[in-house]
Amino acid sequence: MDERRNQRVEADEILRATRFAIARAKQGARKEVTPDDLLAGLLHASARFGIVALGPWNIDLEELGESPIEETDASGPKVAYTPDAAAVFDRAATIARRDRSPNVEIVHMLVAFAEQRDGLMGRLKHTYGLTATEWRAALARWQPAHRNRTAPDGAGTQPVAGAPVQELLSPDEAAEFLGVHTQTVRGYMRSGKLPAHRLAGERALRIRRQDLLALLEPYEPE
Amino acid sequence: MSYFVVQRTLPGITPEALAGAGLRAKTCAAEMTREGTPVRWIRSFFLPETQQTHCYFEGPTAESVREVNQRANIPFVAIHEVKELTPDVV
Repeated sequence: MDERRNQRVEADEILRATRFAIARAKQGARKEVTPDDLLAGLLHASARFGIVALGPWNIDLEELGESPIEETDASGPKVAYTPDAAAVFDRAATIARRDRSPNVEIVHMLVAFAEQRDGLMGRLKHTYGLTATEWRAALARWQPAHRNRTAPDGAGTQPVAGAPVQELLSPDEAAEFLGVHTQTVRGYMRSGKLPAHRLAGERALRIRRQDLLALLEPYEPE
Repeated sequence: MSYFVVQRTLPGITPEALAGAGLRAKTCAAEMTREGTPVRWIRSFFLPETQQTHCYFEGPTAESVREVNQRANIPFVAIHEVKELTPDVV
């Protein structure tokens, strides 16, 4: 199902972050994954060229002392989440629910660190002069670098240089492309307003990008 | 691969905390799989009347399922092997 596919993309990002967090703990020969490990993993999973571009801040992971970690080796101690790290997941799940998100995304995990004053988050706030409110506000408007497939002006038709244009989109991706809820896209499909296609023999639905653009009507002020 | 049920009593647990625990289980299972022990969280059922949660896992041994729950920091009461039965096979 398309929702599942999209959730898998999200899950992959979270898994990338937690894999990094676990590797960071193992590198430190620790048996526990701390909130700092988690935050480092989340930032690395959101970074491009070692920078997390968040609102007016360019968070430089090297400057924070968070260099990339070689993750190739799965050996090392067996590591468990500390109760504090477990609490981050619970807070993120609450934030995701309030955000009406069907799944916990990296951004929800990052928001869960807003009130933290010590450790890596404390360093980050101190280095960049960030308050908890500014952190949440910046995340509210944030799109991770690797997911910026379209131009930031909202038109969404100009691909970023070098990024491949995706011609077929799932209902979730189509909703993201249009900036509306998935249910809205599904409504368009049901009413016949938006042509959709099934992959031969599969349940998965795909929508042509050009059909999404065809939905646009000129705005005529009254 | 065998199936196991992990029984928990989590009085007053919120759906959010269950989701948080689920994500922890998923990420820890992924790490154990990477380490060479393929464990998978399949699904969970929450029983509101008894405040119990039954979580189903697939894995090579009960010990592997125990370990994923310990790593994920999710308390449990017992782990039992289960035999799967579905309408398709009867």
